[in-house]
Order: sequence, then structure tokens, then C-alpha cells
Amino acid sequence: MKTIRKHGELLALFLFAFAFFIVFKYGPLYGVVIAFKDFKVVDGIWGSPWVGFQHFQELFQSSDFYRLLKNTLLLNFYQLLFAFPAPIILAILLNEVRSRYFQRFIQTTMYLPHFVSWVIMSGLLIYFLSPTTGIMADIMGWFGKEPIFFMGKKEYFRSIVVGSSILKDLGWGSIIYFAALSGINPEIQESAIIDGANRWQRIIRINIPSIMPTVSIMFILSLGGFLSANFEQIINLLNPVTFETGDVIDTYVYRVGLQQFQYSYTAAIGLFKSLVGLVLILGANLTVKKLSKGENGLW
Amino acid sequence: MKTRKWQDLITPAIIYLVLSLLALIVVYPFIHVTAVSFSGRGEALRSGFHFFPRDFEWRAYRELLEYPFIWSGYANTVFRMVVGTLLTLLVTVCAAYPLSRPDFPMKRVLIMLILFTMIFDGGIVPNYLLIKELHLLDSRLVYVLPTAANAFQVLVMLSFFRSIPDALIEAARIDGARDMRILFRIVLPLSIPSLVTIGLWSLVHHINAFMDNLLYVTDQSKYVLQQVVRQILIENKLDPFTTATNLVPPAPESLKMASVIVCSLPVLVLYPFLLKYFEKGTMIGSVKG
Repeated sequence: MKTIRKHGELLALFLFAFAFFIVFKYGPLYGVVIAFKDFKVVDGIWGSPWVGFQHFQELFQSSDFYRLLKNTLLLNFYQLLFAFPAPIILAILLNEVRSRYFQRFIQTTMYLPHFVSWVIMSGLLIYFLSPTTGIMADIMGWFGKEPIFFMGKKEYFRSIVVGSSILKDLGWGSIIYFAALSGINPEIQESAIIDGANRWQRIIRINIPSIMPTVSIMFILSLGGFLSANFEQIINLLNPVTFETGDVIDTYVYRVGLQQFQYSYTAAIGLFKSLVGLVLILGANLTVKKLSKGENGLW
Repeated sequence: MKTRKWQDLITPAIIYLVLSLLALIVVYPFIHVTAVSFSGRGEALRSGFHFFPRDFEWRAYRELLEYPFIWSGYANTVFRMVVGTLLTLLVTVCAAYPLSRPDFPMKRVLIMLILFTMIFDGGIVPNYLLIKELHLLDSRLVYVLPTAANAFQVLVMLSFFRSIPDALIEAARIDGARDMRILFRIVLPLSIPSLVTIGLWSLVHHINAFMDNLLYVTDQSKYVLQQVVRQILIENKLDPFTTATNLVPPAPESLKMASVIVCSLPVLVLYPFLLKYFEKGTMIGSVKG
């Protein structure tokens, strides 16, 4: 009673806001139980009969599941291999530019794609890569190559996804590394120059080691999202021809779950994904904490 | 000594060249899109590079603006930008301010409960069932209500509120001000930069979001701009409309490119503000987590 009187106004404010979290973030957890039920719309979530782990057994026996898992893992692996280092390289290059004006110009341009929606990005990508209207066909023509229908070939799908991710967040991702590079004490650079170190020696011996703490934290944090591909990006680029290499867990759940009404089965896949994601991010956080001796980490 | 000089020139030259090339790759599509959207039918259908419009005409835009769902899409997007951002700010402040007071009960547990929503997600199907149970399917409210609960933004706001000196608040309390008064008269005026940053995050999210539209809304008059443009650009759904009203329709390419321009306009208008506030915002977000 005393706390209510003392904090009355604050409690009211907080409860108003917390209600949103309870309803929209904890609310779905109730629906998760249908992964263990045979959900029928007419019976409702509670009225549908329990089936235990039947959906999970079905899942682990289906070839679809392994295709989705493989696509999701491979896509994320390539993202980590190519899209993760790209902003670091950009920041290092940008840091070598002496003209502040040019630096600012490059940053201003390179941030722009981050704010453009995936609808626009993907739409333009499809347009530019098209064998009939696109400029890619022209560029290939200069080298005497036949145009290729990139969006309709399953072997190009992953490259297109990774490439468009790089293009979209290259500039934006470099902000944090660029800030870390700007924080290096200029005296270290000056004494290295006096000692006769050239540009590459300075980059490799001074710049890269100085931003390593930032790089390692970003790396481990990006491991946390290893099982979640970017739905908004992939749904726009995907078509039935590229399902074999491009279909990931979320696009499958959307298509089979919501459009073909297999709610329980796809809820089981979704739960699997959420649980693995949770374990990954907790593990990643623990690693960050260990590496930085408790200084960093999300909590 | 001679090789050193040669190296000193060639390395910066390569760096400038690579960076300029990257900038060109980013800028060129905007030039191409603008050029094709204003070009005549023959020119728009020509493949290859386009640097400026030829056979200049507005027809693609006129045609596009006659399409009723562009207007409803704009209205719905503006609705979710304004209402969604205001609601997000309200919920964020209401959650973060009490949690920033040192004597608020059960603070740690409540922060953990909010944090947990950042790392665990029920998944697409349970979220869909919830929206269905709440009767929010095919309602514009589905654009603004669920996104108002954003744990990351609460944490950023919380860390800002904590940085306000306690003495300031204590002084006001001794003068007899109550919590609400302190919030509105002292804390919020001091927090304007953070509020602007979070508000812009939310605005950009609302301009670009279409996943909630795709999952929960099937009534076309309630589609947001992105989803309308998605149908034109990716699913090629505008063609039947233009061929029905026009004997010689503009090239589908011009229409598509015009829809790209119309759709990116809000972001381009906001871009200077975004640049000013976002760089700092990313630093708050990534360093403090």
C-alpha cells in the first residue's frame, strides 16, 4: 500500500507501457503451445487436442526441414564471411582519406541505401539484373558474354542476397568502426611514421589491432542472429525457381503456415528457431563477457 | 627513396578510386530511376544505362497518381508514421522513466522482463494467432500497436534518463513537485535529443515496414505504401489497371520507376535530419547496448 501511494503516478505510467509488452511480446508465447497440439481454428488454441512432440518428430524426419536449415545456415555463413568484414574494410579505407570533404561525401552517399526499404532495393535489383531491361545484360555484353536470367537461377540466389546486404549496410555498418579508428591516439601514428613504417604497415600493426575489441564484439553479437535470415529481404527476392537454395525458415513458415494453414507444424519450426536463437545469443553474450572480463556484454 | 614516393602516390589514388566507384554504384540507380521515370515509351523500354530522360514526359506519374491505392497507401503510411511514432515515444518514456528512478519497486526484475522480449520471439504463427484473437486482422491499428513495445528503445531511453543528475530531480521534489510534473518540466525538456533520435528510428521503421501488412492485412484499401509499390514493382500488378484506362499506356518500366520515386520521397525528405541524428544514435545503441 505504501509503495502504491508513494509511487502512484509512476506506477500508473509504467503499467500503461508494460501492458504493451505483456500483450504484444508475451501474448504470443501463449500461442506457442499449438506446436504441441493439433490446432484447429474452430476448436481454438486451448480446445485443440494435445499431441506432444509429434510435430517435432515429423519435422526432424522431413527433407524440407533439412533444406531450410541448410539454406538458413549457409546464407548466414556467407553473410558473416563477406558482409561482416566489408564495413571494416570501408572504414579503414575511409580513414586513410585526408580530405574531410571527400570523406563526408562518401559517408553521406554510402548511408543512403540503409534508409531505403527492401521493397525498393529488391525491386531495383530484379530490374537491373533482368536479362531484357537490366544494365547487367549490357555490362556482360561488353565482355562478350550472353545475358543471364539471374533471378531465375538457383545457383545465384545466395550471392544476390549477400551482395545486396553488403550494398545496403556497407556505409551504415562502417560508422562504428570509423569512430573506433578516429579514437586512435595520433601520436602513435606519428611515431610509427618517424620509425619509417609505411601505410600498409601502419594499417596492419596499428589500425587493425586498435579496432579489434569493437570487431570481436560485433562479430559475436552477429552470431546471435545466426538462425534468423532477413525476411523482408528474402521474401522479395524469392520465387518458386529459387526455393531450393533460397527458402529459409521464416519464408517457409509464412508460405506453408499462414497461406496453407498448417499452423501447428510451422509453429513447431518457429519454436525450434526461437529456441536455438535464444541459446546462441545467451552463449554469445557469455563469450563477450568472458573476453572483456565482465566489462561488455548486453546485460 | 624513389619507390617510397611512387607508393605514396599510388596507394591514395587507389583508395580514392575504390571509394568513388562505390559511391557511383550507390548513386547511379537513383539517376537511372529518375531518368527512366520521365522518359518516353521507346526510351524507357531501351535496355542499358540511362543518365537523363529523353522524350521527356510526365505520363508515368500522371498514370500512377490516378491509381487509387497509391493515395490510400500514402495515407496509411502517413497514419502509421505519425500515430505509430507518437505511440512509440509515449510507451518508451512511460516504461523508461519509472525504471530510471532508483527507488522504483522491483526494478531489476522488470528490466529483465523487458530485455527478454528482445531475445525471444514467439515466431510468425503465434504472433498471427495473437493478432487474430485480438481482432486486429485487417485493421490499421495492427501497424501501430505491436511496434510500440520496443525493448531496445526503452533501454536506450533508460540509459539516457539515468545520466540526468539526481540532484536536479531531488531539488524539484523538495520544492514540492510531483513525479508527473518533474517528468514534464525537467526530464523531458532535457531529453529532446534522445527523443528525436528514437522518434526518427521509429519514423524510418514505419516508412519502410511492410511485413505486418503482408502478414495481417488483406484489405487493399488498408495497404501501406510499401506494399502497394511492392505489388507494382515486384508482382507487376499495375499493368491491368493502366491498360484498362489507356489505349497507349506508358512503358511499365516508367511506371515502376515512378513508383520507386514516389515511394522513396519521404525518406529522401527526411535524409538530412536522419544524417544529423542517426550517427550519434548508432553510437549510443551499439556502445551501451
